[in-house]
Amino acid sequence: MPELPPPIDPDRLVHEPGRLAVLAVLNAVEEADFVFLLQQTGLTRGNLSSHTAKLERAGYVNINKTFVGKVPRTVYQLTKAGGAALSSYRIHMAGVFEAMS
Amino acid sequence: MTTNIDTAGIERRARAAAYQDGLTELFAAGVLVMIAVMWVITPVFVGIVSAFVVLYGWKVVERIKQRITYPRIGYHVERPDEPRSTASGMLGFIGGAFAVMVLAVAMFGDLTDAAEWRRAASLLSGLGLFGGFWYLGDKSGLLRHRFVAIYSVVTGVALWAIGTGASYEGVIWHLLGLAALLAALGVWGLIHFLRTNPVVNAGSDA
Repeated sequence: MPELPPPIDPDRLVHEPGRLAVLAVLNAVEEADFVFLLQQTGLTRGNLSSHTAKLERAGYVNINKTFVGKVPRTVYQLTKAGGAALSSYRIHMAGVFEAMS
Repeated sequence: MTTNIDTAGIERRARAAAYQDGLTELFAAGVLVMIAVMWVITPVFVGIVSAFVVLYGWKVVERIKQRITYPRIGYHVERPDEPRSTASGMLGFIGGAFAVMVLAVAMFGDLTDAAEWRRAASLLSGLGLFGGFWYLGDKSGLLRHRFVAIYSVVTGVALWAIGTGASYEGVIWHLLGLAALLAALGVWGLIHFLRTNPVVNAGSDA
C-alpha cells in the first residue's frame, strides 16, 4: 500500500486570509491602530473588528484602548504566541507546497 | 478554501508605510545641514550637536506625523532593530569605512599630512552615509533610499578626488549636496503622500 502524505491541517485561525493579513501586518510593525490595519489589509471595518476579536481571544493579538488627547485610539500588537503561530503556519504551508511540487 | 495571499508583500508594504510621507528624508536633510554648519563653525562639537539634533529633532517629526501622517494612513510604530546586532553592524561598517579612508590616504597621499585627512573626510562621510541609507533601504524597501546611498558614495569619492584639503570644504559640500537631494525627495514624497492619502474618518474602531 502506498504511503499517504501527512494530512493538511493548518492552524484554522491563521489560515483564514483576512486574519492572515492582519497577522502579517502586525508582524511587520511594533504596533498599529485600527485605521492602519484597515488601510493595509483592505478589509471592511466589520470584518476587521471580527477578525481582531478572534485573534485576541486566541491570544495572538493584544488590544489596548488609549486616548490621544480626546480621541480614542485602539492599538494592536502581535503577541509572542501570534508570532509563533504565523511562523509555524508559514513553515507548514511551505511544506505543503513543496510536497505538491 | 485557498489562502492565496502574499504575506511577504503585505509585510513589505506595512514596513514601507513608515517612510512614504517623506518626513524621514526631510529630517535627515535638516540633520545634515546642521552638521555641515557645525563643521564650518566648530568641527569639535559636530558629534555632540548631531546627537542632540537627532534625539530632539525626531520628537518634532513625531508630532508632525501625529498631525499629517496618522490621520491619513493610521498610527503605527516601526518594529525596533535588535540593539546589539544594529550596534555591531554600525561599528563594523564605520570601522570598515575608516579603514578605507586610511588606505586611501596611505596610497594616494601622506599619512602625516593633515590636509590629506581633511580631504579624505568626504570619503569617510560618503561611505558612512552610504551604509546608513543602504540599511534604510533594506528596512523600507524604497528605491529612493538606495539611490541616496549610491549618490552619497559617488559624490564622497568624487569630492575626495578633486579636493585640495585646504579646509573641510569636501565634506561640507558632500553633506550639503546630500541634504539638497534628500530635501527634494522629501518634499516630493510629502506632496505625493498628501495627494494620494486623504484623511480617513476614524469612526468607530473595534
